[in-house]
Amino acid sequence: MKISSKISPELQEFISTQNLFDLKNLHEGVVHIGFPQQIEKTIQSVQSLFEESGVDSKIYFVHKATKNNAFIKQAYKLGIGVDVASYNELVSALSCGFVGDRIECTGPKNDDFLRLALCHCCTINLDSLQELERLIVIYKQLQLTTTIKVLIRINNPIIEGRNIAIKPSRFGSNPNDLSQFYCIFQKNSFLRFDGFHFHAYGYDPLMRAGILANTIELIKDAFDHGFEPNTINIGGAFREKTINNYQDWSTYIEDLEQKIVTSSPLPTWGKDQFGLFLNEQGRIGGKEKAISRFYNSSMINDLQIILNSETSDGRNVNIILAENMINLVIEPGFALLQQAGISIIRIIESKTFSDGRSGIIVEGNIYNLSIANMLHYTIDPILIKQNPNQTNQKYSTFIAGNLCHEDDFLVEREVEFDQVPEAGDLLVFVNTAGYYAGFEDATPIMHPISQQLVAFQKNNSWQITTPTNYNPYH
Amino acid sequence: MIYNHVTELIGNTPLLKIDPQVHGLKNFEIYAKLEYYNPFGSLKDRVAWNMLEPVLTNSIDNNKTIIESSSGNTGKALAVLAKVYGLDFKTISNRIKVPEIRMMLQFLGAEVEELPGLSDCPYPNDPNDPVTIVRTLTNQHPNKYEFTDQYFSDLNWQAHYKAGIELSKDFDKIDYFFGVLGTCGSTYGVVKALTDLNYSVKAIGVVADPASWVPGGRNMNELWETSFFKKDFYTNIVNGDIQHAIAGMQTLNQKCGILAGPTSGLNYACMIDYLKTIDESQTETQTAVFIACDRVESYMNYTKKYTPELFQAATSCKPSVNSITVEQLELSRTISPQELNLKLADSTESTIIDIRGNFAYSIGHIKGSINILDELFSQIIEQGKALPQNKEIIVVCSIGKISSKYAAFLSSQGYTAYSLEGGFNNYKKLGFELQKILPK
Repeated sequence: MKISSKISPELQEFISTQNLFDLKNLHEGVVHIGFPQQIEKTIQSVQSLFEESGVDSKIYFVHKATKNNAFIKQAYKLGIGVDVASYNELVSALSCGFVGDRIECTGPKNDDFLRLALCHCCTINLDSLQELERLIVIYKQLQLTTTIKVLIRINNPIIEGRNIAIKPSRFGSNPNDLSQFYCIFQKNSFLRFDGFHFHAYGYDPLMRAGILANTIELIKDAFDHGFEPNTINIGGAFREKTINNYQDWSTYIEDLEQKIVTSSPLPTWGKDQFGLFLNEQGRIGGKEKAISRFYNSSMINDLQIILNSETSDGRNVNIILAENMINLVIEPGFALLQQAGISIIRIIESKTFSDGRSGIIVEGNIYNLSIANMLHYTIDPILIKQNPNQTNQKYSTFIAGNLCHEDDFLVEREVEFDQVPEAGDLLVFVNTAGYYAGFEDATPIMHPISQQLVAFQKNNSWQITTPTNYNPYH
Repeated sequence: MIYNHVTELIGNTPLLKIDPQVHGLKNFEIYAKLEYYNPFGSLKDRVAWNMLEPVLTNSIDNNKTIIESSSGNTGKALAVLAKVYGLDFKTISNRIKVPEIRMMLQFLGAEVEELPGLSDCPYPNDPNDPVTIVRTLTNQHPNKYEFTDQYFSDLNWQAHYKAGIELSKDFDKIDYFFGVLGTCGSTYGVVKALTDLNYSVKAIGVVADPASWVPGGRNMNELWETSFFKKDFYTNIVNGDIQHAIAGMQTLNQKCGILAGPTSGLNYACMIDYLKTIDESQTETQTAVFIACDRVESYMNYTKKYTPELFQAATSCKPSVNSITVEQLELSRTISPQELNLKLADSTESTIIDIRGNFAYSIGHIKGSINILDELFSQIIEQGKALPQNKEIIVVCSIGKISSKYAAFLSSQGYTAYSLEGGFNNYKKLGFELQKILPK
């Protein structure tokens, strides 16, 4: 069964008009092509949504979602901020033109990272009291005199009147520790306490809205302590629709469910069932998780839901944010990089596996094209034939990588093509710019890491360059 | 008729024939099995009692807490039954979508625990499945919890088997049975009973189109997990969206007097759509039965969310701030921050009303302004003339949008009223002097 990718007209046009074989020949491994101009529309629609609602907002593009600097340069040109999570990401942001007041630093930070961030007056999202104490020592060593903006990351946000089973988090600090933070802020006047940062427990916008409402209460408490924080950072993790027809996915899962119940051969490799499981009574569980692998809404919709949601006293979140002049910060990565990248992989050969099913082996592996924790790409890639005139014939196959690893599959489903894939043909994976393109790049058995390239339109024609050579002002 | 215990009221629900004028089909007689006549208001009362009864004595003797994963009617029925027998009830659910149901569960003394949904980073090994979590909890504390297991227990569909037997007493033949597929227990149970009694009945499953459940991006798969689902069991599976459900619900409510909720509405609407396609080809009168599974009252907020237009007509013709027209709004007068600042010198001329929240007011407001929250201010001025007419009124909100509606409304009531251009936020950005209320 086919699960096709959602694809923008621009990407569609690129794939059908460019010689992808030539592009692939630039590198022996996986080639990722980023389309930095694609992020502009998304940014504009987010900005106009906030403008419309009267809420001050800031977008920090999450660097970790891509290793392709062209996007960081584009983000600079478009006037948004960047969120960095390591020393090297900070260096990268600085090299793309960003200055400290448009950079925020998140996540675990070593001394080098803190030192460079302090020198450039970046905003620091504080993870813990311990980190704050280390920051103060480093600031004094550097003999700086500048003001440093800090946010406190809250790890245990609650929602008024609701009993939520909270999973423990290794990030951030408990709201009970706030008074200790405040004590330290009062003693160190170079610190400007700007507000709070939280990551919601999941993707549910109403859940995030509930935590946001609660965080507004923390802002009010901070005023009672003599501070004037004006920022709430609600993090990233916004989902987007990535498959062409959402209904196809539920049909696929229902079909899979039937096959599991009736012990029929599965259209997946190994035991992968997308979280579906058979319980001791022979029935299926885990369906919600399986279905939710894909999303049918968007960041814009979710933000609208958050802004229009009501707090426990019946007032709208956007009105409360606007009247208290609270800056709402979001950190999109995946959502900003929608329809902004493709990945090209060459087929080495086609073979039959021991159980009689077909497989193709490609010149790349799961490390070149997966998200953290080895979350696979699940959607069908597009087959580009060397011989486009080959007759049509339905062909189902698995797509295996080049590692010495039984589980190295680039797509965990059996994929159906309209033509028979052959050695030398290409597979194009669509919409890979956010995380998939080399997030976990590594060189097991000395295979090359993947190559990042940039495609952009100039005078209505496509240009290809490297991230280093890309100039967004061309 | 006198009953001695509320559980005696479960089952034996009535059937109502749908007026052919309403459904418009020539060759079909349609009947609604009014399952909301069950004492706690839904078909799930049967399931709750059927699952609870066998474990009741043991649970009472060991003072166990009844536990289930339900965000709806099963939870409600189990909560009542547990309390009636002096037991505690806990429900763990990943999302209780209907706030009225959550409030009801809390009011009934149930412990409601919500799961936060999927984690930010996808962990493939985390099933994040409420049923799994309940099962794990029960296995860890076998003496504390009794898990009724509506998604997997055969007692679920067997409860509806009895409804099938009830139907057989009223009909010699049933040609079609339409059921919305949730746990799938009801359709399976009813049709299995009829088939066992040699009825030749076609089961038509009704599902909601997942793509239509847009807000929050979730879908019906989540709301109604389909664990008793056996695809071959159904002659056909049809689907409809949320608008369908609401339209069907309106027909049932307004034309038939059946005050059933959106699930029943979806069932009815999809049934009629389906039968229309085969009506002409029938050679003899066919009988179709569907379930009106619960009542409409809990779903008013839900309905309003998807069809807000249905609720606008109900507003009164009394002038209000929200009924200001676009034309009136265009005529509303504004005052610039600079002009306002000049006026501040003489407070006898104007009254400045700041309609923002009190916290916003306390950390910074325009000198001499009075804080009356938006919603309260509209109540005050809509009841009549509550402000002096010899003074100008200047309304301040955060960005000058809501205040312009107030200025327009007050002007329509004969006041000289202005909205502060760009609101307080603009006034502050321009650097004008502000007043604060110091913390205690």
